[in-house]
Formats: sequence, C-alpha cells, structure tokens
Amino acid sequence: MLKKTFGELINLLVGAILIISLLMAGYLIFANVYHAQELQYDYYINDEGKTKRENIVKKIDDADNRLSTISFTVFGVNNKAIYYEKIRLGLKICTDEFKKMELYKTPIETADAFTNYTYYKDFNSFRGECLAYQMGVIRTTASSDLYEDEKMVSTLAMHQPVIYQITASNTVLENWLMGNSSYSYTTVDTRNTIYNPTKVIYERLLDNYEQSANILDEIVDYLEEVRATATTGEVTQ
Amino acid sequence: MKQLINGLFVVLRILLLLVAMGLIFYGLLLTYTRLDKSVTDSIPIMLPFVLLLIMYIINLMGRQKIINRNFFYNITAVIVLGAIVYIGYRAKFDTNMMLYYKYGINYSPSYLSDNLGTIKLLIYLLFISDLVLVINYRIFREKKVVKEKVIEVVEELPKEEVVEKIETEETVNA
Repeated sequence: MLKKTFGELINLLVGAILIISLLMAGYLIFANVYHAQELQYDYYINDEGKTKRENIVKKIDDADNRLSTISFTVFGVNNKAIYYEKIRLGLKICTDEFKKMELYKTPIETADAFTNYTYYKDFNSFRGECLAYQMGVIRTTASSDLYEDEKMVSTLAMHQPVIYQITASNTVLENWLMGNSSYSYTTVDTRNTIYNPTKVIYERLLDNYEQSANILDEIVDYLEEVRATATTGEVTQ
Repeated sequence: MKQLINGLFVVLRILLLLVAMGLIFYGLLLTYTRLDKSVTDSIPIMLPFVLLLIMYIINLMGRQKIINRNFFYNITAVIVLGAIVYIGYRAKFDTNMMLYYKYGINYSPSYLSDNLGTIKLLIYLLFISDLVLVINYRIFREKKVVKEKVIEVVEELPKEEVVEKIETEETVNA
C-alpha cells in the first residue's frame, strides 16, 4: 500500500516536471515568435528622407565633378601644386568611397533592421577611410612646416567636432543595432531597442551621411577658392 | 485513434530530437571554430541530447508502453523539441539579427548562447521524466502482472466451479 502511494507520488512529481517543461517551452516559442516579428518591423521612408538622400547624392556628384576638373597647373611644378594635388586626390578617394555605398547607389522605399545595418556598415568603412584617414593626412600635411596652410588647418579644425560627433554617434548606432541579437524576453526596454528605433536609426544614419557630404563639399569649395584666387605671383613662388 | 496519435508523436519526437541535436551542434561547431575552441568543449551541452536519444532508443526497443503510450509526455516532448528546433533555425536563418553578420560566420552565436541554458535544462527535464517513469513502472509492474495472472486463471475456470469454491470458502469461514 505504502509502495503504491509512493509510486503514485513519483508519477505526480513527473507530471509536475512535465508541466514545468511544457510551460517553459511554450514561453520560449511565444517569446521567439514575438521577437522575430519585432525584428521584421519596416519603416516607410517619408518624402523628407527621400529628398535628403537626393540632396546628399547631388552634393557628392557635384563635389566629384569639381574635383575631376580642378587643376593646379597654374602654380607650376612646385611644393604648393603638389600640396593641393595631394588634397585633391585625398578628397577624390573620399568621393569614390562614398559612391560605393548602398545609399548612393539605390534609393529605397522602406528601411528595416537589415537596411540599417547595411547603411551603418557602409558608413563605418567610409568613416574609417575618409573622415579618419584621409582627413588626418590632409590635416598633417597642411600643418607641416613645408606647406603651413593655416586656412586649411582652421577649416579642418572647424569640422573636427562634427567628425568626432559622427564617430560617437556611429558607436551608439552600432550598439543599438547589435542589441537586437541578444535577447531574453520582451520588456519595454527591449522593445525600445528593437523595432521602435528603426526610424530613428535610419534618420541618424542619414544625418551622418549628410554631414560627411557637407564636409567634403566645403573642402572642395576651399580648393576651388584657392584655385580661383591664384595669382601669377604665386606661380613663381 | 489515441494510439495512432501517440504513435505519430513518438516518431515526431525522435525526428525532432535528431534535428535539434544537429542544429545545436552545428551552431556550437561554428562558434567554437571562430573562437579556436576545441569541439570537446561542447560535450557538456550535447550530453543531455545524447542521454535523451539513448533513452528514446531504449523506449522503442523495449516497447515501453508507459512512455510510448503516455500522451502527456509525448506532446510535451514534441513542444519542447519544437521550441529548440525553432531557436536553432532562427540562429541560422533570421538575418534581421545584426550579430548574424558581425563575426563573418553568418550565424547568431550570441542568440544561441542566450538560449543554451534553457535548452539544456529542458532536455534534462525530459530525460529525468522519462527515466523516472520507466523506473517507477518497473517497480510496480510485477504486482500488476501477478494480479493479471490471477484474473486470467479465474477466468479460465468454469463458472460453476468458481461459485462452488467461493461458497465452500464462505461456509468454512462461517
């Protein structure tokens, strides 16, 4: 009798274990289905975003054309001509890098987690190649004893805070984007880091692209100004 | 009908266990290769899967009705293993998770590792339930067999003889 009761108790225990397993598995399935749906959130790009993208593309095309036509032969063959040519080539690398990016190549109607990551990845490689490396080279060259181009140094110094801000914002975006891969269960916090920011991340990325295009445009403006004000006196320098 | 559904669940749970094992092992292999870790480190994670598979083979070979005809156990096992397969599938194919691209292995190792603890626990729970049910059945089965045999013997006797025996026993007792 006691043995039988004991056996029934064990059966009851197994039943309890199975109920716990069933509840946990059910929770896992529902939480994961919900998470997958959240990650598939689409943000429809509004007209403002489309116009902004068109302006960026236009600005880069314009800067690239001007860089292709600008010539410093008026300075003859000397350090100054070499210096400006160096800057021109550095900027040309920047515009070429920009043209490789997905945002430049194809206009989009909707943004999702995948689009945002593609834009982020493209921009990150552009930031490394152009804003960090090429701008660094230009700054070092401009401030060197050989050229001492104070105007260029001050122009770059003016843009430096914007470059820092772009870099910092890019790190925030990276953390934000990566956050959607590590997941336990949906709370208000996880929801805020998954689908709600799709729009915000897209717009922040677009701002970064726009600011970078503006920086390139302004430095090309400066080069054109130098070229336009070049006098014959400088040629003999 | 119930037997047919149970039979389906038995087949399904074994298939799901094999798929789940494959998906989890594939994920661990990718992750460990990227980290230059030895594959032997995955043994503690794969151990419950192997134990459960052995248990299921024993259940099948021994035709253990206590498990094979236990509807509640079967449906729980199918749901648990289905959840694990879903997690393994998402780790490989849900491309919306950004870490999928991050390490260049086209897999979401952090998502898998987030769920590994729960997966291990669930598989151990299934294994323990199966083992306890089988042991419990073994202990009490003997009694049941003796009872069944007595009933069989009584049923084989002619009805009049049984009535006679009962009556003589009653008079002796009186």
